[in-house]
Amino acid sequence: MNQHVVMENLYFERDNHIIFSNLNLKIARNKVTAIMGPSGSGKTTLLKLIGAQLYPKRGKILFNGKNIHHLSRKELNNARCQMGLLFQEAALFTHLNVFENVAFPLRENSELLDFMIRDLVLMHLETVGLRGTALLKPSQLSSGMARRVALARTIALDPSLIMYDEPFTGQDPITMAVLMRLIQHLNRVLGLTTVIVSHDVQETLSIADYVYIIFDGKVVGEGRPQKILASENLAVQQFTHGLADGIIPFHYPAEDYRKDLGLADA
Amino acid sequence: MLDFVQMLGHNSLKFTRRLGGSFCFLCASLLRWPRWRRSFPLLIEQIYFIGVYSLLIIIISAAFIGMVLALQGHNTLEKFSASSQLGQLLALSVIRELGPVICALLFAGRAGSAIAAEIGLMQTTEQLASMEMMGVDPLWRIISPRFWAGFYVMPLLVLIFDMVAILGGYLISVDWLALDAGTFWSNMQSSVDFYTDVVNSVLKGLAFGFVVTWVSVYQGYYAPPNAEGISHATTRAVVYSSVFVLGLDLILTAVMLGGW
Ligand SMILES: Nc1ncnc2c1ncn2[C@@H]1O[C@H](COP(=O)(O)OP(=O)(O)OP(=O)(O)O)[C@@H](O)[C@H]1O
Ligand SMILES: [Mg+2]
Repeated sequence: MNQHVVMENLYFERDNHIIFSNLNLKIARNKVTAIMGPSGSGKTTLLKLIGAQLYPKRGKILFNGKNIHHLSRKELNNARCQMGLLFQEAALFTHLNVFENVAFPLRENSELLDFMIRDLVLMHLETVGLRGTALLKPSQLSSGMARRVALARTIALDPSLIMYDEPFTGQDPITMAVLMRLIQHLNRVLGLTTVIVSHDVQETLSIADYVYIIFDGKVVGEGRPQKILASENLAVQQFTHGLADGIIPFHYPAEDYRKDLGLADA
Repeated sequence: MLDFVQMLGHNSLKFTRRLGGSFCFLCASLLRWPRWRRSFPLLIEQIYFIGVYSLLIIIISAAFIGMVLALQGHNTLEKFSASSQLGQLLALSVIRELGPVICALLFAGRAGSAIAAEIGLMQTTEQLASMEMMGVDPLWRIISPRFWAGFYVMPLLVLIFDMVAILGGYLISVDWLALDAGTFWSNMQSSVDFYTDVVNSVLKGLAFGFVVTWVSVYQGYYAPPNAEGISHATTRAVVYSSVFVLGLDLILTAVMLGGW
């Protein structure tokens, strides 16, 4: 079984606003798959659909060959333990310190003894380079550090799939490089299937094995990074080259501008 | 006119939907298979946060209320030269009504708002969502312990309130107004019935604790994910639970006085 996650004919809408109209997408096992698209195209929504936090109107998502939206609560919890989702904001538990944050999934999902949990947590914190912050509160961390702690917390359960929602936004170049190396390291050393959602074209293309570009509820371009960069598709070109003018509008769909301003000719 | 009817219909539909939604929410968070070994410490932790932190404000308010009630009661009873009945007046009004109701209102202000704000914030910052993604059910892990804690703590708080208020009244009556302590206590003892008064007071406490935590938890959980949403949720948690408590008090009192 080579596909970790398969989406077939996904249709999803929110408040009568269609977000995915007919989405087909495959995420290969042990590979780095990047999902890119303009802001508001539904990338975060897509990850939440994979995590079964949202339910599609039509179509299905297969995780390890099983429809994730048809699992019982227990099976779903087990499936979720096998996937890690790193939210756009780190979403650390504010009432716990860094150590307890990373220990949380272990305490909740395993019967490990305290000293084992301690060792595991310290190892994971060491992986992200923040063992020294174990006793700090999340409010004492910078946002880049918070995201790395969240990463340590996500890998604590040894997931087989890890999804990053915009890991690079708001990071300085050094943190960015560190994060990229970390993502690659986790992918190569632990064999984690990796999904990166991002609109940092250069960084993402440099570490991705396969890229999807979504726009207007559909996949408009897919392929290896070189293929994407060489793509003829207008939307893909506009996105990868960051052109202001093109078929991807900057504006959220709205009424006619002149009419809205009351300038429409009677 | 038609607009008005339409608005009325729309709003009552919305209200009914909310009510149904919150009931489903309640069932979803309570009808869980308990995992005692894990749930118990969580429950204790919440009882500590919700109960112990409300204790001080409840003791202080109870003392003041008991004292004021004694002063006012004495003032009126004296006109009928019935000040020996002060103990009875004090005990019955505190145990039957003031204890549970004021306790619930204070509880809503102190614990209800805190619960709503905390859960709202966890929802907004996606802490609950990320908990869900770790295979931990937030309804079980976060909501249900708070709910049960409120349910268990309220009756105890009511009992404490009752006792402190009566003691406060005693201080005023005996030490300040120089009533006879023996008359005070014996009149009280002969008029207060364990089942119709004390047990009912505790039952009211249970019901109010249930309502206040239900409203607060629900408001927090469904708060719109922004600062304004949380502030509205906090306000609503206090306002709605206060109104529900007062309304429920009327119903419960009617049932209890109706010879139940
Ligand atoms: N809670 C919500 N309720 C209703 N609509 C929502 C909600 N969250 C997102 N949306 C809508 O869903 C669409 C996709 O949102 P999403 O957050 O998935 O975008 P995104 O691709 O992650 O954008 P960004 O790159 O800015 O993070 C947006 O048009 C947004 O208006
Ligand atoms: Mg997003």
